[in-house]
Amino acid sequence: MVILAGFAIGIIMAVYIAWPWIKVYMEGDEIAVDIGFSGSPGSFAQDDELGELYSQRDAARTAIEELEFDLKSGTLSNEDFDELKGNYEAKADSILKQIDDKEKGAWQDSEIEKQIMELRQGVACFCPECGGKCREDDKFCVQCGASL
Amino acid sequence: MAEIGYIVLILALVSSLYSIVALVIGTRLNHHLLRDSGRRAFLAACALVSIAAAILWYAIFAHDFQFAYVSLYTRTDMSWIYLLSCFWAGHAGSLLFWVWLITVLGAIVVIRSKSEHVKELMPYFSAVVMGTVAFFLILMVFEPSSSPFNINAIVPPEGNGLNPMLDNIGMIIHPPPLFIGYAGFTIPFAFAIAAMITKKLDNQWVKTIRSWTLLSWLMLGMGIVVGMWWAYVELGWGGFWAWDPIENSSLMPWLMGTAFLHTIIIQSRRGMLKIWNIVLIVLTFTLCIFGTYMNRSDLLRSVHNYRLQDLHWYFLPFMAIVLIGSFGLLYYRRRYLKSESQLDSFVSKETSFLLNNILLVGSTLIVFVLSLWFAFSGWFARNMSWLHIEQTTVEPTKYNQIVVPIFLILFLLIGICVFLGWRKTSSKKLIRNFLVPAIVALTVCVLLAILGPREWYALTLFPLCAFVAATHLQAWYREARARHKMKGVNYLRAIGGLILSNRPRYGGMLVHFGIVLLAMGIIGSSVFDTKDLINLPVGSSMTVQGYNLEYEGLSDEQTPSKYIVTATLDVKIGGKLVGKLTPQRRWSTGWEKPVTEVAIRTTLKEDLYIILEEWDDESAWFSVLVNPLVVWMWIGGGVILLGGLIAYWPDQRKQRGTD
Repeated sequence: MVILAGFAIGIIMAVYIAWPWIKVYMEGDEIAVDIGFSGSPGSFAQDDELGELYSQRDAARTAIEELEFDLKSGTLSNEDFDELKGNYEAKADSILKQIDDKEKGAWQDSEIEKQIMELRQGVACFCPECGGKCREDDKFCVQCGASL
Repeated sequence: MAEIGYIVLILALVSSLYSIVALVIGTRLNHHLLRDSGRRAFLAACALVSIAAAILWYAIFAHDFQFAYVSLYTRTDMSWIYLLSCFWAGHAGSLLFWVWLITVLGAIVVIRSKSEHVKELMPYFSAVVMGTVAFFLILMVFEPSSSPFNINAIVPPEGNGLNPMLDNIGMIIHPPPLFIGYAGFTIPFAFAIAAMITKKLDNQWVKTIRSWTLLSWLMLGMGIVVGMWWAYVELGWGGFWAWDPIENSSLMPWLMGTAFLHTIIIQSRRGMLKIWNIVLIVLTFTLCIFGTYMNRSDLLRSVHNYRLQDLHWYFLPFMAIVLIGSFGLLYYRRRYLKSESQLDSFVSKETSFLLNNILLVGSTLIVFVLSLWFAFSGWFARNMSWLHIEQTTVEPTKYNQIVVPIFLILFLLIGICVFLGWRKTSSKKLIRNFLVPAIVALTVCVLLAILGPREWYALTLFPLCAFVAATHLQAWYREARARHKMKGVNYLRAIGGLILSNRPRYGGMLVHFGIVLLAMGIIGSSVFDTKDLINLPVGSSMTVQGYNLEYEGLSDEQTPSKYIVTATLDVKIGGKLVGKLTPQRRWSTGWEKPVTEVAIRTTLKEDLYIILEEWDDESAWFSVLVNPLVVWMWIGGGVILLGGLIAYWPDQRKQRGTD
């Protein structure tokens, strides 16, 4: 009786845990295995850097808001407020400039990646007349209308 | 039934181990099915541990004495409420209770995780939680003394019952919050490890764990305060804290957790102390585990100790894995943990938090060393006999001499920090803000010198309490006045509005205020308590510390489970009867030693605390204690709970910048 109960609980547990595979088997889908990371390590590093800059920008913005509250609540004198606010505004400017540069770089990178992706996804040939991009199953050039 | 419980524990262990492997490999390989299966194994392990807990509870309520644990801690004549508490009365049951709480809290986090950031951390978070669960399950499955499902070879007709000392409401309200606190600290620890593995070490994970940390800290704190109350009303020695290893084992993670709770505020607001925060949460979690090891193994000599010899082989490797793994990972990820800001000024909230951290961590370290001194000194005595160190435990007075001064500096810091702003505070403004609290403290000092006790500690400690209370009241008043002027609402609504607008700040201030009340109670009852041993013939009276006590006589009563002897005393003040006190001595069936039930008359000013010591036909001996201000400790505990709940309540503010 005890063994039976333990066995039953074990079976229920095993079915519940293995359910993703059972479901795939029953529905006849292929098991999706994606080994490794998608995307290049470079783009991850760039995302991290940008993320850090965004975080620093938000921190500087919050700092300025909090300084204003401290001035109003009487913990900060006018002189200290001016000095600290000036420091944080200068810091925020520098961060915003870095963000601009990174975003431009990221946009250029993403344009290049987009073009590579297009090439990989189906740009299989070029028009012999105008040199425009075309797909393998195109009968006419989409740009000049020449027969392919 | 016990066998099923044991099988369920084994299945839970298998499920938790599989979950770790499936989650880690599934996430590394981006194998969705494996990861999904790992998540299911996590939930299955949680469900199986819950089934094991349900089996034990069922066995307790069904008086199934086939379970060795049930026959050891219950009797058939126990009320349901005490039967409920028998679950955590022993070593094995309390381990199951602890691991069950971890699975419940872990499952809540996993099921409720909605934001993308939290979802990314979930696989590793779940793996760490399952690692902790697996540790407890291994202990229960493989260590016979730790299994709640051991079977009696011969089923006894009746159980031993709960130790009479535990036959108190404290048994129901003290361990659960304590264990929620211990189990709760697994959550921020698991988040910290997950954040390090995934490199998601921005300030988001710290914001995510804030409420879990606060809840764990609050529950652990409540467990400690309720434990103090229980010791006070039950143990019959008139005190509430004896620096016993079991008390220290809950205090150490609480102190470390307090430091962590403060520094995560700095990280979430200023992006500083990122490495330090990881260190603190790893140590807090380890101390939760270490406390259990300290009290259940044969490491120390304590009245609470279970002295189980084989626990070293489980606890020490687990703690080593936690510490080496966490700090190794921390070293490996150190470049992702760079500070985003720097200290703008030494006169700032950041500095006060840093100082508070040094003091809290320092005091934890001291309590750690003193608690383990029995083990350390034993090692020195055996291996370095030329040092002439004898194996000994540390007396409570030593703790008081070393730790209490640190707590007093911390207490002063609570008063100072309320007027410190983030980044920088102008010195002139700061001095002006402290003017009123300083005058209040001085006034209290002068009044005490004229009217009350003139000992140096009274003239310093009570003014210190007054100073801290005044700083908080002044800060609250000024901010309420500002809101009253700006919004045109009355003061009551302004105070309510302030709390609603920034719950963490004002909840925190209330917690600090509760600590002031707690400190008042501790100082009053520790420094100004009196104790008299008196002999009263039946019908006679005696005046002790202003109380006229008239002894009416003894009565005895036999209940199905107890034999109770009760003495009745009339308490009069200035000739007026103010109450009757009935101290008792109780003998429980099956237990040789009697238990003292003290009689307490509580007022806001002091407690009259009477213990029935000895008696004969003509007279009785009583210990009469007068403990000033004790009730303020329990009121302070309530205020801390209220403040903690206010701070815990989700903050709806859209904008920051008002703390």
